[in-house]
Amino acid sequence: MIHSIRQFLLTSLLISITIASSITAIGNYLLDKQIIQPYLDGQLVNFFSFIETFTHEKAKDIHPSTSELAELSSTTTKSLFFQVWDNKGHLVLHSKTHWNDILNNAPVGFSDLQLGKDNWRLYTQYDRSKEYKIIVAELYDIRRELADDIARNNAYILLISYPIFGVLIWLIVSLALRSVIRVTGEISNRASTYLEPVDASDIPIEIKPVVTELNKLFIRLKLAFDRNKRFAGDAAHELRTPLAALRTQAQVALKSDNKTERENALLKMIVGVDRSSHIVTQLLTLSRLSQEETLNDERPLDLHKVATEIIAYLVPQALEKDIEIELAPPPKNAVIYGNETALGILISNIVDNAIRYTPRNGSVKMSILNDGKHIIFRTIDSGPGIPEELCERVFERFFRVLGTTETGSGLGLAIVQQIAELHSAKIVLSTPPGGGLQFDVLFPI
Amino acid sequence: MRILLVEDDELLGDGLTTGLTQSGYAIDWLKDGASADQALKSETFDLIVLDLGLPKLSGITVLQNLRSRGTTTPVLILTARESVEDRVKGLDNGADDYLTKPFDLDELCARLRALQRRFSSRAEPTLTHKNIILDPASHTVSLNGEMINVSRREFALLHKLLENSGRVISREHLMQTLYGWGDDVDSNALEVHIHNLRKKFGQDFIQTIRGIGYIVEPNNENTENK
Repeated sequence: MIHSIRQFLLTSLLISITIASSITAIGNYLLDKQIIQPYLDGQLVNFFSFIETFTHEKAKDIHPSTSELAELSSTTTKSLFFQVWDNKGHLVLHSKTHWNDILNNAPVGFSDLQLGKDNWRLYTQYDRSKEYKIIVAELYDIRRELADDIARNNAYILLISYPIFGVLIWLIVSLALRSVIRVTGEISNRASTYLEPVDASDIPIEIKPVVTELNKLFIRLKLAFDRNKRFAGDAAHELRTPLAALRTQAQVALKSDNKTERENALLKMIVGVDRSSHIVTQLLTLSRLSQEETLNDERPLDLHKVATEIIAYLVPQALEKDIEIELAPPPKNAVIYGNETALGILISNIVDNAIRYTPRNGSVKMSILNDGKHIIFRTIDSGPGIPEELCERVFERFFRVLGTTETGSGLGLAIVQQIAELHSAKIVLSTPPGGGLQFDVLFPI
Repeated sequence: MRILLVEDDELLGDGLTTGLTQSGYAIDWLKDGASADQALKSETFDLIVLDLGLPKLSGITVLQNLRSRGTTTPVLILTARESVEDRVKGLDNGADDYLTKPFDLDELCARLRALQRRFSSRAEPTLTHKNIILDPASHTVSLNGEMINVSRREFALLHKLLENSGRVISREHLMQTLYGWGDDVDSNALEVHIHNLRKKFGQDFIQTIRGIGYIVEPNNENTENK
């Protein structure tokens, strides 16, 4: 888990740089050694030439003066020595140090030699007259020291550049993360009710999907939020009148000194309470449905079976008004995919509405049809019907057709529509021959 | 007092009709804007209680039509709309008072009395005529400091006459004050009430102007300095 992209990039890039420069340094170190070797060997050969010249100059008087020797010795150091041998195997010239090591059998050319703890690079060659064998030697350590010095300098440079790298990476990452920080700031400064989309322009493509998804979520939230706000407002508004009626009837009952008048007011209060609870129940149903975008617990259902059960509950209500109520025999296939409870509410609301608005001695007839593409739940009543211009509006929440005396909540059809939408079903209202209302719900097969 | 109540809710309309009748008002209850508009064109009311969300014609339109005809009858808006914009809109369109649902019946009655008082340019809550004091709030009448028992209709009739003392009020106007449209009215009901009031407050207290109506003599110390 990366807690901070900046931290992560900083450390991982610095580690990468360290690894890369270490490899470079080791490589350079090895390469340096290869370059240094022939270079220093060349110097060794130069030293040989110098000793050779010196030997020739001193050939006449092979025993050099002490002052000359001293001069020569001064050119040598602890890390450099030489020996000159004649053909007879006498050491004729030598440096101040290492003159007692017998080296006249050293092979001609470059060779390595260990003397005590020290490793030496040797160059052995005869002079031009082939009279003398000259051996020059240099301590290996000097070579390693040189390579080490170079490597150390490289390391120093790297160390100095580290903070610079760090600062640069920090700045670059900050620059790259600027839009992320902008979006973060924009979101964190929001009030909980501000749900407008985040400005997605000049956002890098890497985080654009996040912002896009976030914006989609904002839109969904805004819709839900608006829906709830409107809903609460509507609900409060719609309950005001029934509550006012209850209060007025209660006060009438309290003030009345007439028994009939008082009883009448109390009975009306009961009607009012029933109406209010009906509204509350419907509101809760609608609120529960509105919060869902898809139905859960969906399964294949025989619509005819569901309808039979629900309508059975509504039959007494119809008989009370002497309304003829019937459900036609089912088609061969009446199976739809849906939620049983929701479909029950849908059927119940449609049929209840039909019974409510159908006058006494009227009829309410239900049937389930299969037209090959849809399973249709059809209700035909002999009520007053709905004027065509109001067919859209009856599904609005709290809309009630003017002039009706039935005390509905104005929510029943809004609920029906909500449930139909959740089942991808279509509602078609029409006037059947002979008047009334034909209410079709078309469920796709 | 004759009140036109315009309210589309059955239960509330019923409650208000009964409640206001208990307080001695004659109520005419209409359930939609169009019939209220029609009624206001032809009839006179003392007060109007108007809902805003009405079928057929909105309460605001009814109010605008009423005011455009020059009618000054006090209007109290009774509505579920409680926002400041709605209140301002209602009052600016000619309403005299605004009450939101749910409300208290006593408060409604008090506001109606206040509207009536202001409409008849009175400052005191009680009506005083010589030795008679009528208190619309407590629904009581006293003569020389003694409480007099009066029926609901007698009270309404007395109230109307005292409020218009010095002016002749037609028989029809008084009938409208006492009875709503639905009320079963006897042809000589008004005469019976007048008779009863004369019996309780003195024979010459209410004068009959033949063929025109009734008048209560102006109260010199009181009405002149109004």
